Amino acid sequence: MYKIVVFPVLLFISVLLSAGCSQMHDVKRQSHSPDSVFAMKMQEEYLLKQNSPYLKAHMKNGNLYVLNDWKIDDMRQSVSGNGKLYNIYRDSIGAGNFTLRGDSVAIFESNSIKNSGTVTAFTIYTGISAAVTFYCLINPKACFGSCPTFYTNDGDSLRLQAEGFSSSIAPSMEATDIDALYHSKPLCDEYSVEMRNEALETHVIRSVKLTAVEKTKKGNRIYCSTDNRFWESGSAILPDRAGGAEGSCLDKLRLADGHERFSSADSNFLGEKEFLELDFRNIQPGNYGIVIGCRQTLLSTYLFYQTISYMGKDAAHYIAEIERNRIKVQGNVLLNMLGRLEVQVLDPSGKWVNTGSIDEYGPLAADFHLIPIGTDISGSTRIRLKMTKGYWRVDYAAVVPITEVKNVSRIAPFEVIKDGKPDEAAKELLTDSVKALVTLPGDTYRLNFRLPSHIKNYELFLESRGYYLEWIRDEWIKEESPQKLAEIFLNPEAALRRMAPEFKAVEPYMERSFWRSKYAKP
Amino acid sequence: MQSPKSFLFFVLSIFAAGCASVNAPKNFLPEAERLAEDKFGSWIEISLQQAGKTIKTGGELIAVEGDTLFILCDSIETVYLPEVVSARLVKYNSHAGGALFMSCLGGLSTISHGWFLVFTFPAWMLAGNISTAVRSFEPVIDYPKDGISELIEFARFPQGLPPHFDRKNIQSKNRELKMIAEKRIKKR
Repeated sequence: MYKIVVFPVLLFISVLLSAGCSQMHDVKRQSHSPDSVFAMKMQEEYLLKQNSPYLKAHMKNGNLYVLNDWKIDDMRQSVSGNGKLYNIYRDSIGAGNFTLRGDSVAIFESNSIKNSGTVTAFTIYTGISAAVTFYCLINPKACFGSCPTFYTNDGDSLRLQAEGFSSSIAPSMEATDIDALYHSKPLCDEYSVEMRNEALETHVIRSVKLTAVEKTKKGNRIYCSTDNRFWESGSAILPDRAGGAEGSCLDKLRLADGHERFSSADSNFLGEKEFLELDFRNIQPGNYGIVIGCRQTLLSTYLFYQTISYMGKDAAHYIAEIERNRIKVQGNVLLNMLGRLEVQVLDPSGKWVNTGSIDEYGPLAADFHLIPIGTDISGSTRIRLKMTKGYWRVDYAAVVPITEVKNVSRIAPFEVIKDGKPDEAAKELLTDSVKALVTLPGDTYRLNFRLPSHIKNYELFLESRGYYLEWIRDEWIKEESPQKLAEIFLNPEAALRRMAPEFKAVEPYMERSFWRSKYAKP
Repeated sequence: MQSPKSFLFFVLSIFAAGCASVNAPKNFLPEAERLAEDKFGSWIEISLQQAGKTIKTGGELIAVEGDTLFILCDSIETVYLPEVVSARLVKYNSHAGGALFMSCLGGLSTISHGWFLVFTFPAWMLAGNISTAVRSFEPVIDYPKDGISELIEFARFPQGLPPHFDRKNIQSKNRELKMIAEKRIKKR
């Protein structure tokens, strides 16, 4: 009876709270001189448009244009858009499409709307227990998890840029993970990385290092291939056409902006495959690779948690037995069935040829992978990505000319900060290869690195090594089922068919629930 | 506490104590989401020191030219910047009252916490108080703490007063708001 009354009341309050929070916004206004607007690169223009759909033009004569759906012309000499024109006294004197040349504009003004930081903090910190309990009650397999998260400065704010060793869920699976700090913008020779434990997990971190790779030319980029070799790339060739079963998704793949292409899992079989085809033109002869920025959806997290649920109260025993090699398992059988993201190139004879694959796990931060293609492509080339439906979120794809780089610097942190104070013990644990730093939910460490001089000529990568232990939650134990667990190990295909309807029921809400169940210390 | 009423008054006064206060006319402040389309300047309140007296004035910020602020009250007033003791500009309606309401809802949600309510209810009240106060200051620019350049961005004419500007013909946002209200009444 208590639950019947209290649960709807809590649900109602939560809906009201989230509705209230969603309406609290802050506005950042910026003034831009006409010269700075016309000097914007396409990418900068795109980002500004995303943040500020309206652009105001304050004219030298006092008139005001308020433009919606605005753009800078290809010659970068005028701005056009649909909107309204007001005179000096702010009477409306026109509406429609306008094109403005720079010499008549005094100031352009943009207004970026963002969520109110205080309300977000208010929601996170005071509602933390309610949020975790509430979301885990509704959907225990959507709780935030999988490995340490690493935040760095992208020139504006702290941004989640990497997650370490996501597939290392037991000591025997300890592994090294290299993630591109693609959006990092080091401003001086000291660089900070914030390492957090935001899940109900124990993290055992053997080491965290920065890898700095020098570029020979400004504007080039460095990528890491799946065999941990580094490659310098020249100008990216973006796809001319990109599409899957849903039609074109070109706009989602041409910029690494978090605007990702993904599909829904199949309703009958979670291992069902799909293809994403990409066309590239004007490729000059040379050595090439394909860069793919991607992360996984929450399908892998769901299946992992579901497997632990079936283990129930014996989860620790099963994991220990796997650890002792008394239960022979070839990795995670379900994830093996889902497979990798495979890259295939159409050869002149019309055959699709496998050139490589991506198997890095983790649903948190998009990583950028390079798959070398070789010298066999030129002119127009068709490449396709073969993957399990609803399993990958692809943010970026481009073909790049590549040269291997051998000279790589690995940098250990010179300082580790915990709670605002230097933590010498933590530093020693992270830099001594025999020892490891153990972190618990809510722990945050700032790792400070000293970078090489001329840092702007370098590209940074984060190299982390360790493993983590998942905390078994009460809600999971209720689903204990040795039969279903046996099915996963003995007949994974049947398990993926049986679990499809259950996953489809929670799939639309998982991403939202997942990010809202992050653990932070109040 | 003598009664539930006095307790409620106590809680609300704690909430209100740290909030930013402004006296903008009703409906003058736009919603945050509408600021990008707003054709007027923002509301500003100024404290001046003139001949040993403190004078307060407020209106729409029209422009800043050198050391002079132009604000629109009933008519255009000029304010000499060295005489300004303090000024507060408000960009949009913060709806800090909404944060207060949400804090109360959060407090209400602790009924499900059993004896933990002893800890979680005060936690909601404390966090709610801080959040409400901070939210009320989010749209605020305080001069001289914030620089004059931050005020200029929110003037009707951030580029400065345009040539051929006729002070007598300028329309206030208040007037437009009144006209809109009258039209609505007539329609009814």
